[in-house]
Amino acid sequence: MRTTLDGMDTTRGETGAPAVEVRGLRKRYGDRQAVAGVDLRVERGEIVALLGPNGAGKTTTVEILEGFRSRDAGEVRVLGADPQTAGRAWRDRIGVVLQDSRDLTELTVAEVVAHFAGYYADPRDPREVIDAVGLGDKRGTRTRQLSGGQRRRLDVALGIVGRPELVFLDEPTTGFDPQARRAFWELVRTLRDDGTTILLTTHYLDEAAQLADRVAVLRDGAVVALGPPELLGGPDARRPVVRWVEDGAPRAETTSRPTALVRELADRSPDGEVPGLEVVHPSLEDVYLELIGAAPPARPRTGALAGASAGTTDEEARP
Amino acid sequence: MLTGFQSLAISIAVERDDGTLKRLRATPLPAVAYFLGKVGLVLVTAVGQTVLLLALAALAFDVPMPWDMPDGAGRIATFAWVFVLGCATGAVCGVGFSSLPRSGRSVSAVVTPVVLVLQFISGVFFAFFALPSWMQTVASLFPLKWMAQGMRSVFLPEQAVVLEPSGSWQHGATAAVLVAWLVVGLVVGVRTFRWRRRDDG
Repeated sequence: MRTTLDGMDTTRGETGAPAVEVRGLRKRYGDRQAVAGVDLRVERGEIVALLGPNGAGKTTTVEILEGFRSRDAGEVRVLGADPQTAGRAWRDRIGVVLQDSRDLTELTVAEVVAHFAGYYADPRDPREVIDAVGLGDKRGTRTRQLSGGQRRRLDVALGIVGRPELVFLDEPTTGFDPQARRAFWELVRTLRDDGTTILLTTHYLDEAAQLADRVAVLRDGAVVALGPPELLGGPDARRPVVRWVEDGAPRAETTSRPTALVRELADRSPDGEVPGLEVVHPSLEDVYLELIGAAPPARPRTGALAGASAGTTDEEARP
Repeated sequence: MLTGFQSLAISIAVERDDGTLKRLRATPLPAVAYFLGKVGLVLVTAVGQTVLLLALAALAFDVPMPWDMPDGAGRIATFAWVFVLGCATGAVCGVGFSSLPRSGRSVSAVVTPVVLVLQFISGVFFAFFALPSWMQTVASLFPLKWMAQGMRSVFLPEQAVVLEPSGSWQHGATAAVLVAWLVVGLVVGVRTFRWRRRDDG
């Protein structure tokens, strides 16, 4: 049914308690079951992405882990404590970047970061943090005058200024331009290299693929897949598709042995050439869309030819 | 004293609405520190306002100041406790009231009428004795009437006591009512305070 993380223990040579451990987490709003039994484990020093469509329960899950929300059922340990009852010492060790922010508008970047640094026992140097998020030339700017992307980077600065062991990033790059996203990813990698554990929610696949050691795909409040981005969905979901044209009609076949199939096709062809031949590996996006139940209907699994032309243009558009 | 009520009710509700409180909640900042900060804000504002008001009264309108009066020391003492107790009560009630408005945009609309009506019936705009007696009765339930009465006892000449409906300054009752509201406000404030918006789960 659901992939749990227990099988992954041996692959990561980590010792000690995990940064996050969640079992059977449930949360209901009225008659909507927002989180319906999430199991998740995040090891220290790892970047885990929670991926899923809007309304899949990502933010609810994260906000329960952050201690903002109560839960209906399930066991939750974050840095060894229950977020619902954990106190200030625990908050000193986490960093939270919330999904939206429009507060703190009147202070300058330097003032805000320095002020928040004062809340923590062992903060990072505010100047270094401001430089790290790329706001070095905006120190004296009032936060209300920052652009959306700059504002978001300020949020990240506030989330990491306390030198947290675990950082929650809730859709951190929504609304970023491509350059800003690249710069932001660099920043997240730097944090990881410092040993920070990061739990990230996003609905950008490339972001998850770029950053995450492991991805948990959420759908309707439950984890439907969990694993490194390049292995997501298991081997079956990643079998390549071979397409070719035979007798004037497009054909496609999903196979785990594409080379054998291509050789067979070549042998069958009178001049050894197979018209319209291509071997396509499903992209992370294909796998993901299938996992969340939104796979395009025009994807033939075996031998069918439905929608092959549309599928081909899709493939060509990808790098 | 109204400063405390109005500014806290509004600023806390706005900070709840725009996420400041939620952000603070995620930091190790103790809640006590947040409220002490708000108390400091109220004190500084209230003292500043009072100084300006008294300066204007003394310099521009030649209002006799308590320290020029024969029983000045007692009046200043009365001023001090009414001021402190009034500020505290106002601030605490403001924290309690801040949970009422649903969004940051509606705060002023919800808070200001309450303040205006209280001022109207408590003898801030009009001489209290000139108000209908039912209005005096209603006003007696709220702290503002008692603060105003306490301040009259500080700034008005002794003979003005005959204009009080009860015929005395009622310092004991003033203290009792203010303390009662302080306690009620504290309990309500502690029980209803939220770090998050209502629509935020």
